[in-house]
Amino acid sequence: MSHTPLAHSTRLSIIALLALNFWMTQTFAATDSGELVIEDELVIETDDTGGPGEILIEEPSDEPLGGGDELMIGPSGTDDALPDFVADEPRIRFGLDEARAEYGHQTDSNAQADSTLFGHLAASVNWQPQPQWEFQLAGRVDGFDEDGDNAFSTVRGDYGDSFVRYRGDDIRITVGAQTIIWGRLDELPLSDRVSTADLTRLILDDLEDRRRTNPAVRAEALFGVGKLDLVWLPDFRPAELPDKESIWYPINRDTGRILGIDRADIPPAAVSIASISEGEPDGDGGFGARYTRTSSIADFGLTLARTRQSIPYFRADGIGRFQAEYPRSWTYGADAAIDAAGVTWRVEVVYNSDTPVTRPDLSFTTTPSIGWGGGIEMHPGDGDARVNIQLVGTNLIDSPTVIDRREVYSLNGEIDLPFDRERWRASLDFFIGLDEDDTYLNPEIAFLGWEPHEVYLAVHYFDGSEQSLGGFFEDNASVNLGWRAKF
Amino acid sequence: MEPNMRRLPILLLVMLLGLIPATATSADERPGTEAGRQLAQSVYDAPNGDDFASRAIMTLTEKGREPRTREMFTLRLDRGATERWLLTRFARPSDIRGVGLLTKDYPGDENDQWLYLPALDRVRRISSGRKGGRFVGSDLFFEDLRDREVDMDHHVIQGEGKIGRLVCKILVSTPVDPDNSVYSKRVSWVHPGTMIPLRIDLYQEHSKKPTKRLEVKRLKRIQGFWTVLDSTMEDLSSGHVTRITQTSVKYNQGIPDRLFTSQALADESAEIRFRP
Repeated sequence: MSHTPLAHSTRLSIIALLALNFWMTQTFAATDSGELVIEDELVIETDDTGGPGEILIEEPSDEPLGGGDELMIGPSGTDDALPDFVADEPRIRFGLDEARAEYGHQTDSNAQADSTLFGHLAASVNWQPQPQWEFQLAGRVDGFDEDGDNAFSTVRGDYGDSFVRYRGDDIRITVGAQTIIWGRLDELPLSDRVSTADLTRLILDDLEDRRRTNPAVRAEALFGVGKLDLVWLPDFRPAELPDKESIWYPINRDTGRILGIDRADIPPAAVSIASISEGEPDGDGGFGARYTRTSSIADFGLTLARTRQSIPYFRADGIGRFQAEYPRSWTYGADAAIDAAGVTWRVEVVYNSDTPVTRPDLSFTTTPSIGWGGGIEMHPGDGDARVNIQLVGTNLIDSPTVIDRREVYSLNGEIDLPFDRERWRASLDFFIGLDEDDTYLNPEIAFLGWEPHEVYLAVHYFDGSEQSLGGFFEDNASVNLGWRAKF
Repeated sequence: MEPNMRRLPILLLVMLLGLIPATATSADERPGTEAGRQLAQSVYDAPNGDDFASRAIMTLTEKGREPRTREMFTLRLDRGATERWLLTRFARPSDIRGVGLLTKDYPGDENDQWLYLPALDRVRRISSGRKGGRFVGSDLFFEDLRDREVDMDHHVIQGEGKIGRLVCKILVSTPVDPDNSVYSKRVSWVHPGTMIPLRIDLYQEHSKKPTKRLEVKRLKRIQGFWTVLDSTMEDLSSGHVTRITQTSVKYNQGIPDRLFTSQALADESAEIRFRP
């Protein structure tokens, strides 16, 4: 790049070259029809030998300004100053999409790991031979390492979004592996029923990094300001779980605890010696339809789905064994967003026909439930800070007596504060239980000035009661230093 | 092509992106004058086509630090005299590639905004009342990207001044409702030949001196429309400069309404053929 920034303090003395040159340079502009238009160009030349802070622009006394077709104000040579970008997207794009490395230090003396390492690479090839057709192959590699009591290292390869896509005027059809995240709320969208969760790092990452691609056939049809999204999951893909030795696994055999279950209901001794089966059912994952529409008053969405949940529910399968269940459920959802009083308001409610639960006798069943939530997003002081706060709840409906939590209420959200012209960003992600003591706090400071790289220092803090997420992982508090980049 | 008289987004940098308001009146509490209003209206009505597409490079420069660049495509569609739709799509840097911002400005101070986040493949409605936040870390506030109708300000002509040797009319504009603008005053040097402000000094409530300055560096008549090809916005306190260079521009391609929906925002393929 060789551009000449025009700092205001720069004093461009200008002694004019005074000549106002009327150059009939043949500047060509292509019209829609491909016709070439020859444009007159008026160049007003300047010199920079004059006093500081001034730009002298010469105008022909006999020619009113605007008589020509170009007016240079300030130093000439702006074309040369352009950064050497090539704006056109290539029809074939391939290479590394994303890279990440992170070191985490567990701060609690009870932690089952002293430190963790995480690495991630994602790459893809994308080919668009014609505007209507698009082909993509993508893959990823993730590496995990934990030292401490249950030390382990593993490297996993996986496919990324790999598909064939056809685009018509008002329809888009995609066949292949895709990541489809439905819903309105941030981070915990309730209508998100066709995606596959990635729990390998639990909730340490943002939503887009907590999802994996899964096989799907998708048709998106546009109807004016409305869109109908139809998805069929021909092969069910369950959530990507962490290694069983990982500190993020939802069953801790060392302590004999299961996430969400009080130890009084399932004795730790039974959990510690139990075998765990993550096996998923064969067959399809189900189907879903979502209609969204926007207007100047509000955006809204309606969701109907019959899908398996990708996150496993571990049921007791006799003595000494836990079996993952992925119950199929009908989901009916509605959501909306409006902009009022300088605030974006979002609401979302879903009904699930089959939410997994366990009776006191450890038998497994499902029961209806309602998930609901509302949130606000605003920029305090009309500045750069962004605050997003959401109230979310889940209530079991007509359930039998169960050992699970019958209702869960929480406040969650994010506060972002970019500063130094977005070279830095301070943020706080939080999740606070309202009906149970349940806390997750994630303050982070990130340096963004080395684009597209980002270096960050984050804290993950967990605390809470026996059955809560914060309580289950309270020994896993950590300080993490990482680097991530998108290419 | 016959330039039709539409409102002129105001120029400056953002003109490129769509527009900047034309100005403002005096914070000296003087009521606007008819002459001032007429000049502001002329700026607003300067021809700028029924639609507009551009490729632009935004360079953020600060002394002693490496410049940062953003590349973006902008599509603008005018619907009537006071309704404008603007779609901005980022191409660089790679961490924001594909991010789209759709703004629909309606008559008055009403507008809607949606942001498309490719990482989530999600369109989010965002607060349209936001005016003071910085646009992608630049010296532009969100208000600088929005249409500002003439009657939202009082306008007074405060004589003539020169930009170099170009004689311009100095138009001072102050908001009728101080709450609907980040700026307490705008002073514009309007070039009568093109009806384009070649410089705008922007004042904020907390300062008696201008806090930012918008300067046009290069104008060119393209397809019959005077177009700002190069401009800067400088933060006068920090010296931070945002430069916007339009590398290519097209007017009146017949850009269809359907590109300006939140659904289309989620798939940039349809807009590619209209990029210059």
